[in-house]
This record gives sequence, C-alpha cells and structure tokens, in this order.
Amino acid sequence: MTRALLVARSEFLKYVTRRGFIISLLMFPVWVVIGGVVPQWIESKTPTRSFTVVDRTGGAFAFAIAKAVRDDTEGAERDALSDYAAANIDMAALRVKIPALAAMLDAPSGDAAALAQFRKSGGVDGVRARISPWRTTGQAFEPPRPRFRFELPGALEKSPPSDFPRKADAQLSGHGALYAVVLVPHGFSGAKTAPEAEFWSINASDPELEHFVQRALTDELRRQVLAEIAPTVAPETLKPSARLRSLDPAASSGNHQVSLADQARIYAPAVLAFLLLLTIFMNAGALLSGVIEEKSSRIVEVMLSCVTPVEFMTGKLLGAAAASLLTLVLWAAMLIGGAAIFLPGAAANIGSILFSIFSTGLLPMLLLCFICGLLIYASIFLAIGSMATSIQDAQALVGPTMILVMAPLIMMPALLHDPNGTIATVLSWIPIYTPFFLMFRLPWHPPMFEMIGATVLMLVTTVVLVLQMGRVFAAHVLTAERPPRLGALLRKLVRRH
Amino acid sequence: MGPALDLSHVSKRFGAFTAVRDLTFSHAAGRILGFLGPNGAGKTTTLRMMLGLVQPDAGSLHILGQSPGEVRHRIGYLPEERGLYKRMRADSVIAYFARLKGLDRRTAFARAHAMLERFGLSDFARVRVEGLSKGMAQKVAFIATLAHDPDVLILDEPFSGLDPLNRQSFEAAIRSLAHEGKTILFSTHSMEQAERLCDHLVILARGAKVFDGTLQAAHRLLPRKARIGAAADLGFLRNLAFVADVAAPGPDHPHWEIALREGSDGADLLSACFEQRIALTYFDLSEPSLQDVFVSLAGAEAQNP
Repeated sequence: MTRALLVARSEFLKYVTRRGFIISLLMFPVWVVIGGVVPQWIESKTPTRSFTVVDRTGGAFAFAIAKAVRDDTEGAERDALSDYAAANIDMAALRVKIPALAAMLDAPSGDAAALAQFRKSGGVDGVRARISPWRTTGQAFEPPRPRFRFELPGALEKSPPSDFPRKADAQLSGHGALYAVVLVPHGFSGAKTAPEAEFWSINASDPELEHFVQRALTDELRRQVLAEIAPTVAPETLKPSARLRSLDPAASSGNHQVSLADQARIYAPAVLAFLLLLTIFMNAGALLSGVIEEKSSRIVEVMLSCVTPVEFMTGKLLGAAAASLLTLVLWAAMLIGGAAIFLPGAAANIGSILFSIFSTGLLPMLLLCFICGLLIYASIFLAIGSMATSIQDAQALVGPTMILVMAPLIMMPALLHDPNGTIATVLSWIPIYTPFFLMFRLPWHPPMFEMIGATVLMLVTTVVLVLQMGRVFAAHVLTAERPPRLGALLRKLVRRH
Repeated sequence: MGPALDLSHVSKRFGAFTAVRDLTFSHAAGRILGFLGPNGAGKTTTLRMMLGLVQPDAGSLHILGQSPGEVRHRIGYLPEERGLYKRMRADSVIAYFARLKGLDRRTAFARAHAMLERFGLSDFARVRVEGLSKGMAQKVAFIATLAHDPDVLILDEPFSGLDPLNRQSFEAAIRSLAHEGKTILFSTHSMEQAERLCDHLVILARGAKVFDGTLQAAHRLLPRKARIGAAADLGFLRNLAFVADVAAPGPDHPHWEIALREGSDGADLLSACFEQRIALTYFDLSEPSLQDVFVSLAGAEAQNP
C-alpha cells in the first residue's frame, strides 16, 4: 500500500503541475464570471430602443403602450433602487424611521403597490434624496438605462396606407433611426376578423420590443373588454395579481420559507454531478496520454519492476481522484472568495448556503458518489490507455466511451422536473450512471430501498469495474499490440483467470 | 551459494507464437552476462520474465534463489529507452524509483545526490529530465537503476545513443559494479561491447538458446582465419590438411581468406607460401570475432527454423 501511495503522490503531482490543469482550474471561474457578468454587461450596453406608434383607432392603444413604457422604466428604476438600498442603505433604521419607503424598497420586483409608492415618493430623485441620510457606503446610485423610449409619430401619422411602408422604412434606416414603428390600424380589436396591428422593424433577431408591444396591446384590449362588461368597475380591481409564497417543510428557516440556502441545498448535488462530469472530461485526456507515454517510453516496465500492476493502477486512480477533489475544492474556494470580494452583499448568503450543505447529511453521500464516479470512469480510461499504443488508437475507444459518459448530462435538465420519476429511477439502477443520478436525486429524498440498493450497486460496480479494468490494464500495459476488438475484450473480461 | 540467475526449461508462448522455448542457463554472482540475440529472439520476453512482469508458461526461474516477485527490491532494471518521467527533476526521479524499491525519502535523496555527483551531474540535480542531453538522461536512468543498491542489474541496451566518452565511463561503472559483487546481465546488439565486458555469454535465436558459455568458448566455435594479400593464386592451399577453407578476394574482402583447422597456426601457412615462392603483400592471423560467431549461430538458426 505504501508503494501505491507513493505512485498516487507522484501521479497527483504530475496532474497538478500540468499546464492544462492550471488552465482548466482558472477557466472554470472565468466561465462562471463570464456567464454571470456578460449577459448583465450586454444588457447594460444595449441602447434604449426608440419606437413610435401610429394609432388609427383614436389613440387609446398608443396611450396604453406609452403608459406601459413608463411603467417598465420606473419599475426598473425601483428594482435598481431596491438592490442599491440592500447593499448601501441601513435598511433596519429606515424601516423604523420611514416604514412606507422601506416597505416600497423591500417589495419584490413587479409589485404594483410598490411602484405606486415609488411614484408617490418622487421617483428616482425623490427616493434617492429621502434615503441618503441612511447611506452606509460612499457608492452613488446610478439609475438604469430605460429599455424603451416612446416617440411621437410626427408626419408618419398622416401617411396614407399605400405610402406607409416607404415612410416607415425611411424612419427605420439611417442615423438616429427608430428601432420600430407600430401601426394600429383602423378597426383593430380582439375580434378574429379585425385587422392586425403591424410591427415594422429591421431588427427581426431581437423580439423583446415586439413582445412588449404585444403585451401592452393585449392589456389594452382586455381593459376595453372589461370596460364594456363592467363599466363601473375600475380596471385595476378586475386585474388582480395572485401572490404565491414558496414553502418547504424541510426548509431551514422556522417559517418554512424557501431561502437561497434551501435552493442551494437542492441544487448543490446537481451542480456536483455536473462537476463530476467536468472533472471526468478533464482527467480522461491526462489519464490516457499518461499511460500511452509510459508505454511508449517503457517507463511502465521500470514501474512494474518496482510495483505490482494492482499497486500501479491503484496509485494512478488515487492520484487522479485526489487531483479531481483538489480541483473541486479550489473551484469552490475561488467562487466563494470571488463572491466575497466582489459581491460583499452576498457574503451572508454564501455563509448560509455553505452551512446548509454542510449541516445536512448530504456531504458524506455526495463525496462517496463523487469518488465512486471518478474511480469507475478513471479505471475505464486507464484500461483504454493500457490497450492503446498511440492517441489515435485510443480515440477509437474513447469516442464511444465519451458518448456513454455524456448521457447523464443530456438527461439532467429533464430530471430536474421529475427527480423521482420513472426515468430517474431507471437511470439510477444503471450501474455506470448510479453515482450521477444517486447524487442528483439525494435532495428529493428517493425511497429508502432505492437509496440503499443504489448505494450498494454503486459500491459493487466500483469494486468490480476497478478490478476488471485492473485485469485489462495488467494484461495490456506491456503489449505493443493494437487494441483488441470490443467482443474479444468483453470475452476477456468475463473469462476467469 | 547457488547461482544468482537460474533459468530451467523456461518457455513462454503468446497465443500460437512461442517467444521463448525451453531456455536453460545460470549465471554466478559478481559476473557480467551478455545476453545476445537478433531482434525477435526472445530477449525482451526473457528479461520481462526475470523482472516478474510476465510469468513463464513452463519451467522455473529464480533470481538470487527466489522468484522474481520476491526479490523485486534487489533488482535494478534499465530499459532500452530511458524509462524516465520527462517532467520530473533528475534527483526526484532517482529518489522516486529508489523509494518504490524500499528506501526512505531521506536516504533516497541522499543516495540520488551522491550518485549524481559521482557521475558528474550534481549541477543538474534540479533540472527536469526533458532538459537533459541524451547522454545525461541515460546516466540519470542508470543512476535510478542503481540508487537502491540492487544485487542484480538487468540492463537492456545500456549504451544505445551514447557517445564514445560516455560509453567508456558506463563500461567502467559496470566493471566496477561487477567487481563489487553485483550480478549483471546486459542485453546488447553491440558485439564489441559484449567482447570487452562479458565473462559469460548467452545467445538466443528464434526463442531458443544457441550458445551458453565464456567468450573464449564462443571464439573456439569458429576456426581462426588468416588474411593474405598476394598477386598469385592461392587456391593450392585447399589441398593442405590444416586448411579448412579458402576464399578468393571479393568485393567485401580484398584479401584471400583462409580458415584454419583447430591446432594449426600461421607458421604452417607462411611455410607453404614460402615453399611456393609466393610474394606476400599482407598477412594477418586473427581469432574469429564475436560478430562472426553471432552471425554464424543466429544466422544458421534463422535459416533452419
């Protein structure tokens, strides 16, 4: 065992000092940051889209769209102020001193009453002035750029229908052009036979404004229908918004409210299963090329004159597993450290998320699944490496193996909807996938017999596969022959020594 | 005390192919064994069996009186390719193999540094193997083979790719190790080196042993040969009793080549030429080279499967 540990230590050092390892290590947080920051950055850099509405019905629809634009802009301003206040304002003091203002800032996005209160408080300038005495940081509030701007139609309003396309085109092209022109024709209504509204734009790839206008027109049509049915009733009273609170009996807080930490506890295993796949992809190449290099330079002969094939393979597996675990720990540390440094407001959430993951019984089981998954796939790749004399040889066997490995990745989004359904249950009982799906399903409390059975299956599979792959490794690592055919290989595996 | 290496009727097959057939030989401690044979003769398979990497199908194989697996830590093995991890530093790779052979970390590193100094490589101790010249890397591999102070050394083509100076220092080191009592087996294609170094030769061809004995015994397998330069026809020498064969000058040898029967010497030949009043321009009498013996044995075996 000492020799296997020596091999493991050497293999571990080989992995972690590879340039590829360091690049992969850094690439992951970079991608996470890119994935999180770039969409926001793109959104912040998207110019305000100006458009106009030619309303030939009398102006009610143009008015409705203009109102929707104003609601959208002010709603975004209120949301941004709410986020700003959470990080830069002493909200506890504000709740005591100006409870209405604090309640407006505490309200979730899209809350109509909060938007009304925001307007009543004087919009951005008014709220900013009122909360400034409770500022805890020197950071100033920057209002977000409005998504849309409503422009008056001007001469376009008078253009006859036959000339409208040419006039609209002139408005949509050139410097300072409009993003879109909306035409609400005479007789437009919700009836199927009524003429359709028209959305003229040369930016067909961006449907955001089109959807926005469609929603605004739909809301106005509903308002008109409601006005006919119940003219005495205010439209707002017939447009209630159902408020739904998310609760979980297993939630960490006393009131069963689902917190960010509870969501993290549920999604952490899925993330870990994804990371397991990622580390398998990362290690596969290193394992293969390592064995092939050892074969071609005959290091393997020197090694096997020092250690037994079992010790050699065990050392390699332990080294790969240790490197993968280190990768995982470093990724987590980088993400947590990065969040703590760059998102100070998130520090408390990160603490509760970590506490939630560590305080439940999930962690040992997650680690067991992770290690079993690693050992299963690392042993398969080691065996493939032992059978190949070149990377080209290995590719022929790696291709189908990678397709097998990727299957869980394809299934994961579907399983999130039904983690204890038939598909998830069946997949959990396929030995090479058990570590992924068992890990994935842990937070959804699968039936006890499934938990025990799948765990036993996973452990047995790991032991049997590592031993069988060890046989293949020992039998082929010294040969310079081309890899055997799959049938011959399977016959070898089932044949006894 | 029994032989350090003892193989008895060892055979190894890979499917229908017999790599080693009924191989028997033994070798005493403190001596150098040259293990010779053309490509595909079964040398590598035999070495692997001695290292315990593959198991013989038949026969018995003992190293220092035990099975190879039991004395793994007392064997040092140097493969033909350097067999080193390229990205490890010189002292680390030596210490790593020494530790795998049972030395503790401190001793392994101390031994690595002492041997690097002995071989003039102390300045390169912290250099990665990939940064060393081929000769230096070969020395590092050799040191890695010796660092755990093995009793048996198995060296596969230890001189390949070395310049004459490095080759000389390697030869000196191997002689010195034999003098210290180490048992050395080295496989080579260089007959000159085998002639210079070995006290014992085993020659394989097509998986079977074709010679097992001393260098002197190998030399006696072929007649002594005289090379004579003369303008006259020396074909009459064929009629003499002490002459085994006469070959006229040809494209590959510019002189007459006369093979002598055992017991005769050059004086008889010179007398015969003198009696015929033949003017000689060149005369050389030499023992057959190991190369001649090897070609004769391995070539004959190759032609008579």
